[in-house]
This record gives sequence, structure tokens and C-alpha cells, in this order.
Amino acid sequence: MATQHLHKNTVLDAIRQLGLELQVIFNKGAVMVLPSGVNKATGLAAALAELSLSPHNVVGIGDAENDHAFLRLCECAAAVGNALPMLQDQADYITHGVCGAGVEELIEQLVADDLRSIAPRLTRHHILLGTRENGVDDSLPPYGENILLAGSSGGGKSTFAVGFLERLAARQYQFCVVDPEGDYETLDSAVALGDTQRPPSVAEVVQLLESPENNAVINLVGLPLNDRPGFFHALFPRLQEMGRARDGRSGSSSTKRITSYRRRGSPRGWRSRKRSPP
Amino acid sequence: MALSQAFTTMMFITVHPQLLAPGILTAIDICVAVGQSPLETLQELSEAVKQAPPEPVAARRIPDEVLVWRRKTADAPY
Repeated sequence: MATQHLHKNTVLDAIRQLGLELQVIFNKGAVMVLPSGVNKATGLAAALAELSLSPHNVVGIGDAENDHAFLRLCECAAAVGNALPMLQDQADYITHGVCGAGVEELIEQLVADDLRSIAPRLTRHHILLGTRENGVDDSLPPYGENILLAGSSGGGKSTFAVGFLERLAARQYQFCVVDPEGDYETLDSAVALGDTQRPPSVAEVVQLLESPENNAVINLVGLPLNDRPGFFHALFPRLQEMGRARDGRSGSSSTKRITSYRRRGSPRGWRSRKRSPP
Repeated sequence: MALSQAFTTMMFITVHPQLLAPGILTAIDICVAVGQSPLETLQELSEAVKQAPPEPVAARRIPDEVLVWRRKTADAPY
């Protein structure tokens, strides 16, 4: 329930007298009474679970006190031009327009360039790559860039990759490892599909990744070499399709997308590597 | 197999960059070279994409270090 700010003492007295476990949120000129632990962030999380989407797929916009938790959850947090200063400080992007005009402005920018112009501001999501010689952390965006991890056998590729995967998982970014030699099957943050006796199927990969909380390690050891090109040919379009669906886009796959998952694999040039623990 | 050129947000892991399809190498934004001879790895990528990394290329000093080349920027590998 909600009422005007001038009734705040009445509301607090009523809650105290009745012994209720309720929380009071001040929201611009309003006083809102909510069940304990319920706010816009928990509501968004419940809706996203129903939709099989991640908060990393969400652009949020707000203007007042009750938007803090919700915007913290969103991948891109925007505030309208007349939002409270504290909310603007938290936002990744502040619209020029106020109220509804600010929302329209954000939507127009989303349609125009998929918010690519805002992407450089989203450094709070960057994933640590390492520490440079001068002691400064070096990081990169969780999506959009392609990485080549290369070096001799036993040189630390798996160790580096596992560290990066763990940092992705810690931030709830979804990933899918295509693992030709079973190097990553013990990764704690992912479900291994396929083993030495049983090849994975595209259907089970897609089914697993439909839930954004799940990560996959596709173990190809049980899949004959001659069958692997066909497997990739079937798998990658499905992964791309999932990414587009989560972006709410159905156009060309060349559209630069803000997606919640990082895919990785080694489609050609695999070399025997000694098995190394993650 | 004709791999799509539209892949983004990928990490490719290999011993020899030159064994990857040219279209994939062209799409690489960041190269992380590990192991005993990261300069050779960078050189292999450099030849494959016909792009020399800006000088000076940092020399690693300790085993746990990797060499990073952000090849879509003007920064020298570090």
C-alpha cells in the first residue's frame, strides 16, 4: 500500500501497534508499505525467472528511492533527467529528458544502436583479465569482444581460462565451453554434457542453457572427429538464436548484441594437451 | 565447415593461432599469449592477420605472466 509522505507517522504507528513485519519505503512524496524483503529487484528477479532471462539482459530506468535495488540488478541502469541525485549517481546513463520523455529517449537509443554508445560506461561489469606491471587491474567487457588464448602445451591456457570462467560465473554471466579433450569437465560452475562413452546432443545443450543460471561444458571426447563439424554446424546457430531471443531481437545475427553469455570453443587447430586440473 | 563470421563474445583456445580459420583470426580483439614463448605466439598471429603489433612489445619477466595484445587498439602488447 502507499500513501502520502505527510501520513508517515500514522503508518509507522500502525505497523508498530499491530506488530507487523513490514518495511516502509520513502519514494519521493510517497510512503510505501511492503512485505519484508520485497522490492522492485525481487519482483524483477521473479519475472526474469519466469521468462528465462538474466538481469544481464535488462535495461532499467527509474527516478526515485525505490528504484535503487532494481537498478543495481540491471545490466544497464538509467535514470531520467529529473531523478533524485542519489539515483543519478548510481546510474550508468542519465537521460536529457525528464519523466516519460526520458524513457522515450532511452527506448529510441536502444532501437537506434542497441545502446552501443553507452557500452563504454558499463565498466562496473568488466571482468578482470589480470594485473599489469604497474599494479593496475586490466579488465575487459563481459561480452562483445573475441579473445584468442594461445600458447604451447602446458603453458597455462587451461589455468588462465578456468580463472576467467570462474570470474564470469561469480558475476552470473552464462558461458558455454566446447571442450574437445575433457579438460574442463570438473569445472564446478558448469554442468558437463557428454563424456567418453556418450556424445552430447545439441538438444540437451540448448535445454540446459535455456536457464540463464546454467553454464555448460560440452565434452566432445565421446563424439567421433568426423561428426564434430556437423555438431558445430547444428549447435552454433542455436546458441546465436538463444542470444537474439534474450536480446529481444530477431534481426541479423551480425547485430552487435548485449548478451549475457560468453561462448568459447576451439573449432579448429586443437592440439593434444595433457590433462590439467582446473 | 563454414563457420559464421558473425561470432562475438568468444574465446578461442589453441596452441597455434595459424591453425584457426582466417575469418576467426580477423575477428580477434584480444590475444592472450601464455607459455614459454609468447612472443612467438604473437608473431604467429601477427603473420596470420598481416598486422604487426606496435612497439615496444613487453618482455615477460615471471612465469605467471601472460602477454596481451589488444590488436584493435594502438597499444603495444603488454
